Amino acid sequence: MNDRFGIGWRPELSAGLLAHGEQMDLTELILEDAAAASPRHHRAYRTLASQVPFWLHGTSLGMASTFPSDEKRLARCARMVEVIGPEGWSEHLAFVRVPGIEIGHLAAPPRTLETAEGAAQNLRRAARIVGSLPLVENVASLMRPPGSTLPEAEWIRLILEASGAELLLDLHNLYANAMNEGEDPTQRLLAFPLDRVGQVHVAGGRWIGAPGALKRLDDHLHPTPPEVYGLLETLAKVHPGPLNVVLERDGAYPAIPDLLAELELAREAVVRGRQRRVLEAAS
Amino acid sequence: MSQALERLLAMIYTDSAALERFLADPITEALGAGCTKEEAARLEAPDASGLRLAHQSFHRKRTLKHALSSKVWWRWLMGR
Repeated sequence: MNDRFGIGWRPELSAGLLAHGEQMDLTELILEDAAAASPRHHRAYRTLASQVPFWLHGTSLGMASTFPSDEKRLARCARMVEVIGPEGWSEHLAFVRVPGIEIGHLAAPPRTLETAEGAAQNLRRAARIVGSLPLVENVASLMRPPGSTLPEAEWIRLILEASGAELLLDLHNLYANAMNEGEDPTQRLLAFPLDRVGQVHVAGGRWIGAPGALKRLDDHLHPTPPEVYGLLETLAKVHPGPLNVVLERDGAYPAIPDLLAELELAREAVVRGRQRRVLEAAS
Repeated sequence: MSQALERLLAMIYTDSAALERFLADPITEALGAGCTKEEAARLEAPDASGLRLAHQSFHRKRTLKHALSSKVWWRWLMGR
């Protein structure tokens, strides 16, 4: 199997992505967008999934929590997997609600043994209901999640080991968290369980906050920064197998050639990483 | 008691008054929310700027989602 590269499928990009389909090896659709779409759209996605490796990417199941994931949402996810027939599905290691409170987006839970165990239990339930385990994605946070006792890499390793799930490694999230917690991004990357990476996300963000206390926000509205390509190169150097890399963009959409140029930079980063591995092995 | 800790975080991410109360006296707020003494101790020195920015970011996301869902509902109502 070869490395594969693709761009996240968004309605605003669909015509352009379809026109340049030969430059994409895979794509990914937001699960909640699929669930809200019409049966006509479902048929279209199923057709697409039969022609291009296609993934469903969840954002609302709240897997990384000591509260159980919502049964209705899991059932809806199972239905979408059945109707569309993707290659696989993924979800974030986030909590998005507690009973009575909707946070409205992906929040990083405290990195503790309790939330790691809660995440593993939720993932096992999800696998029973949906029929397959999702890949699980590391999420961005503007600060070390309050109440944490474990480093992020260790917390994720515990969840993967207890659940059997593979990692969807978001390199911009990793970069943002390293910056926001005052760590070196490459060292943080190398601490992750990289042998468990099943897919990679690259994306962009921006700096927010007061001068002197800037925080990196993962907003998917800006081009992927050079630092993320550098992390991708390092990952390609150390990762034992082929990589599936998806570029995410969720607004302020540029022209398709600009996104394809970003994808090309990702390809080049992976090639550089592979070359470094060969060179180091030969020396 | 990690559920109490998650509930406290959800509160401070969604309720600006709860966030300010927490930043003013994190340990009392944590114990009042049902966190254990150990959990409360870990919250002693919160990253105030990070928490305020996170609160604002979640608020923007909720507002955007509400606007989008209203748009979908209006389109459905108009039969488009």
